[in-house]
Amino acid sequence: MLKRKLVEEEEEKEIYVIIKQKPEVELKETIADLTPDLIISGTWREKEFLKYDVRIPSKEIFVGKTHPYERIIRECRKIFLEMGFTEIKGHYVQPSFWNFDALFQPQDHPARDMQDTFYLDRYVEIPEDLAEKVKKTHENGWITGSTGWGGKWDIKKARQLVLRTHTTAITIHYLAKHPEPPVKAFCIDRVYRREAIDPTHLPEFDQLEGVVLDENVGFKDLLGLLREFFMKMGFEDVRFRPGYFPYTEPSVEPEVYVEGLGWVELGGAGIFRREVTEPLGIKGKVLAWGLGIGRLAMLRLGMKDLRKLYQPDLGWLRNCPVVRR
Amino acid sequence: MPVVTLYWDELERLVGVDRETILKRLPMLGCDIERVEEDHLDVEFFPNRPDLYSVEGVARALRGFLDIELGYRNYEVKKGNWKIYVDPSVLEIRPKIAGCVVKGLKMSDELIRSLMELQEDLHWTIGRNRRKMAIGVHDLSKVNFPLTYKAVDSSFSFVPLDFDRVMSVEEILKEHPKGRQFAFILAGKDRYPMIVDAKNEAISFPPIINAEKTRVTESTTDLFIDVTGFDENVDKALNILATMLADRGGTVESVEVIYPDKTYVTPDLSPRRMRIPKSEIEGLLGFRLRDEEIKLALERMRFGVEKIDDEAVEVLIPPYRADIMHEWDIIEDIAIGYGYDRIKPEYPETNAIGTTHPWNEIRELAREVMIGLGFLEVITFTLTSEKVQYDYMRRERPKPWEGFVPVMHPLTEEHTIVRTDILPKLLEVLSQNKHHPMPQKIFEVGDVVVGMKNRLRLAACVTHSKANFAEIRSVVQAVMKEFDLDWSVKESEDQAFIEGRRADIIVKGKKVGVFGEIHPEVLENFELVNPVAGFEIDLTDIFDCGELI
Repeated sequence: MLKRKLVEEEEEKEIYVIIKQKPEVELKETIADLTPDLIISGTWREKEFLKYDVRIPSKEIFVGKTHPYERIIRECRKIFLEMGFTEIKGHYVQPSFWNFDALFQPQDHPARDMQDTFYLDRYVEIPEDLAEKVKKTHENGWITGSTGWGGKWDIKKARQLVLRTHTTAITIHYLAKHPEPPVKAFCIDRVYRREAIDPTHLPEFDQLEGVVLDENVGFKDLLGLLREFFMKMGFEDVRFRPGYFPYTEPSVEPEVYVEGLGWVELGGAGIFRREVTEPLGIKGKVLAWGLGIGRLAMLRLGMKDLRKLYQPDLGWLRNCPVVRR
Repeated sequence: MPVVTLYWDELERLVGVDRETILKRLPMLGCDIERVEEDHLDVEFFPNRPDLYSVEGVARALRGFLDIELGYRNYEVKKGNWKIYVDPSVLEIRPKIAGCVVKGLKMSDELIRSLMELQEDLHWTIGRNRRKMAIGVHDLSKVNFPLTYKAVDSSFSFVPLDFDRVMSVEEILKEHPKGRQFAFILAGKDRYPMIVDAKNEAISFPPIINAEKTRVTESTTDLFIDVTGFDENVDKALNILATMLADRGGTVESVEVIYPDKTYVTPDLSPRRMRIPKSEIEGLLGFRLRDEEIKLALERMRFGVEKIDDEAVEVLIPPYRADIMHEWDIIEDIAIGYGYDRIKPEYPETNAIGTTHPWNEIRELAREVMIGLGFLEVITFTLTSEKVQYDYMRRERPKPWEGFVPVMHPLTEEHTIVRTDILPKLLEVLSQNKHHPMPQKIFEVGDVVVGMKNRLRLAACVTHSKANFAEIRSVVQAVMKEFDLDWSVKESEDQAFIEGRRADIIVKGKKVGVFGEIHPEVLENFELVNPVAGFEIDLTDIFDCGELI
């Protein structure tokens, strides 16, 4: 009958347990889920809560959070604001005039090559009086006390648009609009270089820059600003080496001491040349410094590959803790 | 910036100190040490100091900096009987020439190597890849003076360096490796610069190549150097070469350069003079130096100090210093000579109140709302392509300039324009992160460039197997509520989304954003397999984001 499936087989087992000793706690009904009914009625009092194994991990949920890089930028902004700096912001597209010429970059400077800069096939007008002063300064120094670069300065080159190669295009234009001291301003924003992507080179990245315009300030004040800024960033030991930038004199390369790495170069700084400030009518001396935020990220997040910052890997972002020891 | 290879044995011998001292002090003179090896070190010097592009130049600077030999080193030029006639024909092509003779040299491998490296570094820096200035170095004994610098046509022929046959100018520009490399400088010309000797035989075809016949060998003792170009960079380069060879024990003799209207004697190795007010030094550095400190600092940097009075210091500038344009250039050297490490930093008293820019304040607010909604912030490149921005999104390509900004000479097909929208960038992120667990909720608040001006956008996406319109609508509702805005929606035409599941966000009668379920064809373009819902809002449309420069 079994084979013909006319009957089913069923086995039953019965176990009898005899309680030999009365338990010390009273036996109660257990609660799995605590419900509003149980709370309102108060019946939970007569019941026992089912105990969970708290060691078992739950399903993973993902935190919504700030990008670690933005957190570094936020920290830098905070430091600038604490130090009394005004935040400024500018367009990515800028005339060569503000990106190069106003900063006394000679028109045949290698940094201005098509090789290194993203040029745009568009030209804009430059205020004539400014252009004239910058032209004279480039050609023969004008009234700045400089010899100038010699040669001919071509306004057409200054009129061509570029994707700005540094935030200094913005700070210098801001100073030209606010030429009376005192001014303290900063800018943290995207800049572009015509570079192929590799772990330490990107065609666009973020830069930080601070400027102080005042009458009676000098090189020692610039070093004081740098030391304060880096101390606030958590770099206790700062030292200074000579540097070179076409638009500053003197120029300096600050270095900070990082445990395990030694002295690390961190950005550049200097006092804007007369050839930069005078044609723009900026009164006093401009102390300026800047650095790539990527460099900070490398030190802070221990990153070796900057691409990760702009080509998001959700695994990395999800696993990058908000608090870092 | 040029990286100069300095061999330890030469450098230690020429400076007169051990390598530890050099390694410790060299960076304080102004350079980046790139590599330190057993027999040499590679150092990157700054582009304003071409006089340091040779071991001789570095040794000269270090001897001053290390207090071994202070002050101005005088360079004698003996009057020579060497003439270069400049023919009017060359004035329109490459007008300037200068030269010098250096006698009594011992052409060791060491010196030849150093001279060739210096020549190349000068070509690259001062010469802007030979365009503005080019150098030819010749064995004097093989040069028949007087010389003529003139223009020739493309059939003019001679045996160029490293070849054993006569070649015409045309052939050299097409076949000689240097000809091919530098032909671009002479592109479009039908006449070419040439230095010929008394027998009308070429010794140099600037800025391309020398003739084989004046080749410098180990037995050469006397050199003739020509420098051609357009402006004072010619003299700067010549002075750096002449002083470097003088440092090697050579005797420099002058060359007469006879133009149709004027005669010059080169090189001029006399010092330039500059009077620098002491008030200017104190003003720029921010602290006062005593007279003897100023003097010592200058002499360490190899300047001469003629006198210091109450007002000013009179400085002799060495002929090889190509970078001194302004008195501040010398004041910087005073600071370096004094020692950057000895300057006491002081925080300036400049008083100002810190203020934030509204743009970034609004970004912070948007970020707070999105994070509260459980979204993860991402940052992406702003460089992208029309393909990803519009074609993949099934959106019509806007007009360049009015819409997107195209870059000239893009490096890759992926980076041809600056983004006008963030949403496509987020879909790209999702497509690169398919292997990570769902759900994925991401946002970016950042800049786009429309019509050459920056705009601030907020965009977000959610993806998982059940992502849909309702979910993203809830998010948009929450965001608009937190922004405290009166808003409404309208059926959208945006082809990036599924019809009937897309909506424009309207504020004050104007479209400020869009949201919906991403069209499956768009998903296919980004190789996505899970549904995606997303939105993008232009924050510059709804907030005052402040002034931009």
